[in-house]
Amino acid sequence: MLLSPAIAEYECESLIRSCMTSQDLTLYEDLCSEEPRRLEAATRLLTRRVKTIALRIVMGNSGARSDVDDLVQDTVLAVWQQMKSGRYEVRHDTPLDAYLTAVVRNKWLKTLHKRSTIALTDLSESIADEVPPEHYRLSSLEETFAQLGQACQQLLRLFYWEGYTLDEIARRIGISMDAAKMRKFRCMLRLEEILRTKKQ
Amino acid sequence: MRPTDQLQQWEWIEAYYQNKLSTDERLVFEQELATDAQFRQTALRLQTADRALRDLSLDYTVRKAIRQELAQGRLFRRLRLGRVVAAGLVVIGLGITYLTFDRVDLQTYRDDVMLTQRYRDLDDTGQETVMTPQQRTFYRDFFDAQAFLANGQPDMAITNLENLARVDSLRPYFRQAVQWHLINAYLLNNQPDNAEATLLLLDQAGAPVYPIHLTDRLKVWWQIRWQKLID
Repeated sequence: MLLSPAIAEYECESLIRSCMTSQDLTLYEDLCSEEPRRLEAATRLLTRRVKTIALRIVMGNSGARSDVDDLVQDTVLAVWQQMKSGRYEVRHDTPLDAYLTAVVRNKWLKTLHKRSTIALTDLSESIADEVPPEHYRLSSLEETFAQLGQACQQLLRLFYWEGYTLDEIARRIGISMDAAKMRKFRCMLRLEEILRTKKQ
Repeated sequence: MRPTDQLQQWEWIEAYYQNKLSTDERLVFEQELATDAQFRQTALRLQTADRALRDLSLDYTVRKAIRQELAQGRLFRRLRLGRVVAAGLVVIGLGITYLTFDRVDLQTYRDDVMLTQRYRDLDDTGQETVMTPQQRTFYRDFFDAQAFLANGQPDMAITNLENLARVDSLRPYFRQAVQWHLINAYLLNNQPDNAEATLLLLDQAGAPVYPIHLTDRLKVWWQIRWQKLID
């Protein structure tokens, strides 16, 4: 069903706001934003917060500094995806930092389990408080995108990723404006076709 | 009106899901959606692709921001560590420079000069003093040695001080005073071996009674090694 623009907005906008601090609320709204600059600044802020937590947990539980970066990246992506998809549930008794701590702990726990190393006495209590696994729709989308031809990938990357206008793209790849528009729509239809085939 | 040209039709669909159509145009568009199944399907396909591409671009933005933030942290850590190392090297360098080139300042040197000068003056004016001739000779030679040292003539100071160091009847305080001045003179005259031998004698002489500051002891110790190293 074709969604009207108002409904097509991200679900996270509709989440409860009353129990968050103003800083957390701003961060949350910025993370739900589709404006690249806003999202980038919020991601950096979230990364710093997660890193502080990750350092404490990793260094205090059989980890090394080199483990921190991977853990931070995984956590920030997971949290962002949870928020964007509307799966992040704001609780009255759980501030954002507590939620971040739970995600970091669980991810670190999984890493340690994989390594099958040290007894996890001080982490064991958090096993039960498992954070729901993040959805892997994006990685599937990436795979789908990679199936497009190089010309399509280049044009769509320039338009959606880098923020070039179609006029700039046309000049850059040496085609007319109309040809660029046509190619863009055809590439989009091709992408949708691959997505649909994958679903079936 | 619904455009007839395919490209314009696609642009019309795009304008709809980007909320760029006026209310009237939206009504027309939604009528078309309701009546033309193929048009509806094309619109849905374009919107699905647009949504997917926007999600991918946001994911790209987030991943890039995380990478940049973490890289910045690593760079900052490296710079911070670098600054600490550089500061440490500078401090060590300054410390070595200070120990190498700063003159040994015998703490009681000025007191000694005033005292010996007073006795020397008394002796020159022929006034009666309570000093024995031996003491008078000591003060005169010691004052002269200090004057030579102050005038940058360590070789002449060494002659006086070596004579004084050979006197048996000196009290420990004066003996140590002479020996420290002698070490200083040796260092000024680039004779680290003699300075080291005298320092050894001082160490063997028992409890130190002539006050020398710890940094001056360190300077003497280091300058002996430094002069030996560069000789």
